[in-house]
Amino acid sequence: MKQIIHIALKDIKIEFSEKSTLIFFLLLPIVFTTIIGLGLKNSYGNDEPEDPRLVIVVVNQDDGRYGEQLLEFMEQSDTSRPVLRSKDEAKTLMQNESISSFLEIPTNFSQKILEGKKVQIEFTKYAESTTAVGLEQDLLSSIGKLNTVISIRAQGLETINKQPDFPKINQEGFLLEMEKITIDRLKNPPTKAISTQSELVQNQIPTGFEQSSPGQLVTWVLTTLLGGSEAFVYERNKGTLRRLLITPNRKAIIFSGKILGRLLMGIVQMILLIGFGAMVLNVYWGKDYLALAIMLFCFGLAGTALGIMLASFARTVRQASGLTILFSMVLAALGGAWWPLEITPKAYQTAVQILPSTWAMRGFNDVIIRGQNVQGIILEASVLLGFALLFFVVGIWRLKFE
Amino acid sequence: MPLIETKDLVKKFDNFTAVKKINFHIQQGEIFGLLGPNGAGKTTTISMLSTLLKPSNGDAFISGHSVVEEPLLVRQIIGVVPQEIALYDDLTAEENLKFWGRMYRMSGKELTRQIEKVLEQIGLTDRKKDRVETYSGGMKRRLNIGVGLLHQPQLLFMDEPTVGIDPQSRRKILDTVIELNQQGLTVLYTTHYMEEAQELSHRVGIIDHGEMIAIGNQQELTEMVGEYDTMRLHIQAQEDGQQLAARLKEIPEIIEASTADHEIVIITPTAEDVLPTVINIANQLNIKIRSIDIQEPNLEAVFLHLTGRALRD
Repeated sequence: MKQIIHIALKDIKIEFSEKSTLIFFLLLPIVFTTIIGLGLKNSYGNDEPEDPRLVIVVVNQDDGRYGEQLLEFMEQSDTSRPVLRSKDEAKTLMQNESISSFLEIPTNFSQKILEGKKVQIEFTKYAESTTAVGLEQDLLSSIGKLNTVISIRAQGLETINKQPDFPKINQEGFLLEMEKITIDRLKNPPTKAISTQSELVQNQIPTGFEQSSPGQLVTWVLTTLLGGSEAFVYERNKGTLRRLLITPNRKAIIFSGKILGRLLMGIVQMILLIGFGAMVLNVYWGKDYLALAIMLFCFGLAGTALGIMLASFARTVRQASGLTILFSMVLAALGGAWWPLEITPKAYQTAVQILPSTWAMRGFNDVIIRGQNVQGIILEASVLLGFALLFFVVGIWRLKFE
Repeated sequence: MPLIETKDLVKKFDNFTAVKKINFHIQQGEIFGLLGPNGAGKTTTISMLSTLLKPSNGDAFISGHSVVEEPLLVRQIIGVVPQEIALYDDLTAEENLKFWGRMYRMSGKELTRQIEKVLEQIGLTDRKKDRVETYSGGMKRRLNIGVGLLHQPQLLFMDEPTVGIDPQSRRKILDTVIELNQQGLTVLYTTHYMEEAQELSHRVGIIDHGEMIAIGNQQELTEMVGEYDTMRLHIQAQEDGQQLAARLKEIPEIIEASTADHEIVIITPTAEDVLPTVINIANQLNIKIRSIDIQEPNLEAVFLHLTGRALRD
């Protein structure tokens, strides 16, 4: 075990024997995190949090107050919000499967209510859409409120009719006042169910520093971890690896030492970048430190293993260096480290599931913006461990020590 | 019991056989020179003895331990000075020695004491705090040796340790080897320099194309070629040495004539007698001779006698 640590510490010492290493290890990641974070903030504009409620498309053909009132009740919902569209637009959206349902308020809806006639509003939905069912339930609640207003108006009218001396000139004013009181009561009911929500803002798309802090961490730490391939090839070509192999230590010890050194460098770099993100940029890096630690370890191990695999394909340090830059940049860019995957097409999001960087970003986003605990990142951590295993197996199978 | 004993040692790389059934032994306290041209199989042999390469066939025993069955035990007994300078350029000499010492499970005062001793031995005490990348080629070679000595091995393998260095550093290294041997260290020294093998070795094994073609002390080996002299003709780079060698072979008193590195090596029982004839033929062929060197029987002559080629062919 001591030998493993000595090899790891030697590798770290050699890596940092040049002061310029710190530029790539810390300085550039910090600069890029800050600049890109500022840029992304402006691009996706998250100064105003996006309305997280489900959208219910409404075709309002009524020009009276009850259509407007229904929309107002719908707007007060916690789960859905109305968005007005023309009938043609709504039909097109349905055909494209962009929406699962829409509501149509018919022409003369208010007029018919005032005339005491029965009116129907049409809610069109896909038969098996659970979203549409949810929206329908929410809509029924709003319609119920509107019916209450209409009932109160009807009762008011009955009261007036029972009092023949009620001045005709005040009748409509009286009814409107009753409606207004009812609406106010319905808006501020004496009893109200309070739902407790997470203290986190549930943004689906990470923005600003929330994106750049983990994104640049993945980018630059990948460079460090994959850099293990250069160190390995350098030792092999220099002859020090052969010399290590004729010391009284098993190959597994030498190999473990090399892995540990690289993994430690990656983990220290991650901790420093998280510290910068949390303390300077105020990025919320989650509340479950164990979940975060598991993610750091699994990502570090997958990256280190990939470095070993790359070493098995490179014959010269120059080749290894080229592969390190190529893989770290491509993996980071495609895996959602440079821009949120949520803004990319579904097909793209599916395709990049084959990259370890995608799972690393998913895991970090789970911790940062979704506040997940250990259970919430088990899938991502397991997939990263799977990648680590695959890369180690290929690397060890192909790697030439001599 | 010999310190090293090989039994039909073979190493194949795909279809190429680098070492062919080599058998030799080395006694404790010996300097054994393994002499042969580049590509003869010297490094492959050392790699098998030091457990870096697994023999394709046969085995070797170091202090009774099989290199195949007990590699970890063998590694504790041996020290290796590889042909390449296997050091960490970004670390200082002291840091290098400390690291390699720890790989041999050395620590604390024992390690510090041994580092100081080795630095003194290789003459680098004053530069121990400097990074290796700032060292000259000779200093790096010396440190390369120092790493091999650090854990006080019983047996030291030195694979062409003087390649590519200046004469002064070479002298220093040869003196160090002699001194270490006088202190009781057994040395297996590979080289393609005949002079080094002659100066250092108690016994020499001559290896060519993976085969051990002769083993013995210098006297035993030179007796193989009889009382022959070696004459070296140094010619201009552009001259046709092959043609001259071919003509010289026709002279009955010349046993062997071959070319290597702008020189023609001639084996003859009477160098002084054939000298006028040699010069005459060179003049006939318009080949200018820059200098002539005549040596008494040596390992070069043995190699030439056994293979028909000069050592540096």
